[in-house]
Amino acid sequence: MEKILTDRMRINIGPQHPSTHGVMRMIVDLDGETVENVETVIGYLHRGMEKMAETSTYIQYLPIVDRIDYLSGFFCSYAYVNGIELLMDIEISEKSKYIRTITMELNRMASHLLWLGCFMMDLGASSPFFYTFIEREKILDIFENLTGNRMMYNYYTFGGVKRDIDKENLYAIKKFSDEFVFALKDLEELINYNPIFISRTKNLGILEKECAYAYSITGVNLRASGIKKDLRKDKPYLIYENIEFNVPISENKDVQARYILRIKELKESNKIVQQCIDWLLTNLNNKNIITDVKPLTLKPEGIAISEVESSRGLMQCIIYADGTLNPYRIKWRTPSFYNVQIINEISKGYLLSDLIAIFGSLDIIMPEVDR
Amino acid sequence: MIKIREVDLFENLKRKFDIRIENCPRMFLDKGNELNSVQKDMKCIVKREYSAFDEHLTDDTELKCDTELNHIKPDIYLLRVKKEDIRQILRYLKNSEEYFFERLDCMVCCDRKKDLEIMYLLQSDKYNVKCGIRVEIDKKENQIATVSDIFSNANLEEREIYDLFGIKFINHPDLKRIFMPEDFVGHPLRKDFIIQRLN
Amino acid sequence: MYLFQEILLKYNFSDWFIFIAGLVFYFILITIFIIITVLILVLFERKYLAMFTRRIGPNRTGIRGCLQTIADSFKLLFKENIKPANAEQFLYFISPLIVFIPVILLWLIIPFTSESANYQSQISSFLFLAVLSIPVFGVLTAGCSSMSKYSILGGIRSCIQIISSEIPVSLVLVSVVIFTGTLDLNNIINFQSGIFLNWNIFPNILGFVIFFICSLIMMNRTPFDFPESESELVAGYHCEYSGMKFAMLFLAEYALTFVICTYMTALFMGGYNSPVGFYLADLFNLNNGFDYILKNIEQLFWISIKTFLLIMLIMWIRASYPRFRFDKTLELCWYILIPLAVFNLCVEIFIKYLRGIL
Repeated sequence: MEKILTDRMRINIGPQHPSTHGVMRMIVDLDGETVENVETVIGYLHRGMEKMAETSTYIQYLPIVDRIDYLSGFFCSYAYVNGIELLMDIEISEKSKYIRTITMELNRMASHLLWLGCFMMDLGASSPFFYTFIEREKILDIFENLTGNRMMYNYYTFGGVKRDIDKENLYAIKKFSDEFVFALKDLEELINYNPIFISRTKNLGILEKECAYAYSITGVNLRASGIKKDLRKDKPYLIYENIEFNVPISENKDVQARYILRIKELKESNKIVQQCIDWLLTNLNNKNIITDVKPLTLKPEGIAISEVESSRGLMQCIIYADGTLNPYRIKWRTPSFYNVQIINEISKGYLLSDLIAIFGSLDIIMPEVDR
Repeated sequence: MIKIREVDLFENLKRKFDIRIENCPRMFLDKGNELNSVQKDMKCIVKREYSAFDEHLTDDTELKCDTELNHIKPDIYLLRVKKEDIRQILRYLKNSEEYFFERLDCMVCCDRKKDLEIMYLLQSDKYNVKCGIRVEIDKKENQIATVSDIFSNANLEEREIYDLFGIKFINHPDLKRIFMPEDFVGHPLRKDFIIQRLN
Repeated sequence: MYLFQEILLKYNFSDWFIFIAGLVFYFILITIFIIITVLILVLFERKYLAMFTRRIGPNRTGIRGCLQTIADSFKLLFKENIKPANAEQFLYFISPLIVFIPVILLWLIIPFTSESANYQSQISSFLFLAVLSIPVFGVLTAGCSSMSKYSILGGIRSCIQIISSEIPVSLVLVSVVIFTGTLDLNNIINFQSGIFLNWNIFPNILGFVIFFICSLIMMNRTPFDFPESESELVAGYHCEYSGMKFAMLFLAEYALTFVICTYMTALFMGGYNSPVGFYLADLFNLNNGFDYILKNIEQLFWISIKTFLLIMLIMWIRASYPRFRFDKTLELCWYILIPLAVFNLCVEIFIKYLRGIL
């Protein structure tokens, strides 16, 4: 039987997505139903974050930093503040380290919960979206009590944190973290063994190790390919040396592995939060949360590279400081910028609806990509 | 994590190519916390070179960021190489057994007012070592060879640098603007592209 | 309808006029009934799904949100009537009608009570399936006449899905017909009168499951709503429709849901018979000419309850499961459901043989 010639069709999955990935355009070449080539067009959300740094002082840039990745505001804030603290040789107190850790881990949980809801919505199940958002609302309420804002926190500053964490907040976090275990169990029972879900996500979007190294992928996407690499264990910062937690990895390189790893990371973050709460509850009298730095007239000098393991991967903030009031150049190395580049590699040969599942599993956030 | 031997890490590389080591992390120094002779020589060389361009500089002048930035935190290796050698050096660093820098974390471009500079940040997972390789690019003939066939993630990075700084990459597969619209004139992150702050 | 005809008889109209007037009256009655049912069904779905996700659903329009669908239809009525310049104008205009009108015809075939004036024929169950195949053409022409890449894709996919699910349905119908011995829907329902152990579902549980799954496919419902929610990646067959034409397509889907569930109850769950064998209305002996009204009301009540139970099950599945991939749906239909339906047919013949012996 001779082969029937079919033309390739070019489909545009336009900048406006019904699924909440932000504004990104994918030009997909289809041969019948199978994907042959995906070209991604980014840049719709470019806000000039790096140029804004050159006309602001260091303290004026601090509220803007949260918006690099609005779902992980604390991580971006930490990367910037840590860079300046490295340059000025500022030591921060033990209590502010614990507060920073606990807020960053809660932020990681909130980001993963939102990812879970949107991923299930892409696959078609609409109920888990609401269940995860209920848990996320509790976290955002905690943040609102602590910092005054639900998403753009502006809470870290050079030398420590701005406000102390008091008893009611700690008890609220403890209550949330105790109940979270059961909520997560409900979600797992609903989704994990569902045969439709398994057939939609198994053996899909395989990311090989060489590809991961070539594109400098970090975070959960790398750990799902079997490489154990987590900045919190390799170069521990803050107080991660004193805390017991595991870093889950998986040998299957597919979409289901990434899903399972993020669920496990939620549990590990919960463990970290509980250990931090125990320490903070025993040190309530310690009011030393900030070292005096005179932030308005900071004049650091040198190059600083500060990195943090954010919810999507390795985030770095590279600061060129020249001894004047304004930074000379600030560069953000964000993990989603590199995750975008592997879409073409790992989705060749699959169907069009698989492309959406693969794209959802990579956990790409557009403000990080475009800055 | 494999412990690295405590000698000058890039001894072999220095024999093959013309590189200058600008920062050697203190943990690899021979004695205590003193600057070793390599670093002292290097500071003098640098100052002497730049004072040839600018008569106001003397040997004691503190150099500001317009021209030089070598103080880096955290302490990692910083190398400065010639831009013609960059592809060979990167390929050597990636594939050779003694270095094995398998990841290009990031490419940072900076507009020092007399020229442009790109820093390639390499990371070795096997030895847990980071290294920064700096290349100077003249503003008049702003071209450099691409490294996107050695490290695949350099593809989008170089497009970003082309868009925001105007450096052309030779043999890049698809060099076009990425953040700015296609018909934009100018390169925003250069220092002569002035934006005003309203307060 | 007979009431209406008896009233008309007193005025000495000619016979054929009375006949046609009766039919028109029934048609209008059914259309009003469809509209009310769809109104209730849309609101019911939103409130019911909200219960699963710990929300409230619409609660602003009317008392507790009961006027929500009327507000929606007003909104759709006043929307601009867009005519894409590229589209085939005649087909584009007529496709919603091709989808919607057979659904009304389906409502005319089903017996809602023992004395309803539905279209009676000796092959009514098979006629139902035959008319059910007509909206497929409407979907196809709606997709293709819009002349946009995405609606063509969506229309073709929906069409293929529905066609592949019609074969197991026909096989299951054959098995039910063999068991009951008649194609007429009225007789099938009478066969199941008495207590609920007489219902067709008990000897034929596998057939019921197959029929249920295929009806989900035909209604384009989750987990098979690939053509509809293709609006995630690309838009489905109704992406170029707006305003009243979209409302007609939307209405057709909900009307189809209700009528297929009613058909399922007629085939498997005893139709309008009460599960306990006698009617409550028989206890009231009114002894005037109108005592059959109470019985009809009670039969309507029973058929509505059973249909709503099935609809609740369908919506419960919608709230719980993600979506099938398109080729997996086709695999399910052709590789799994058709052999199962054939197997079910053999089992039914065997059970009928046993029943004949015992």
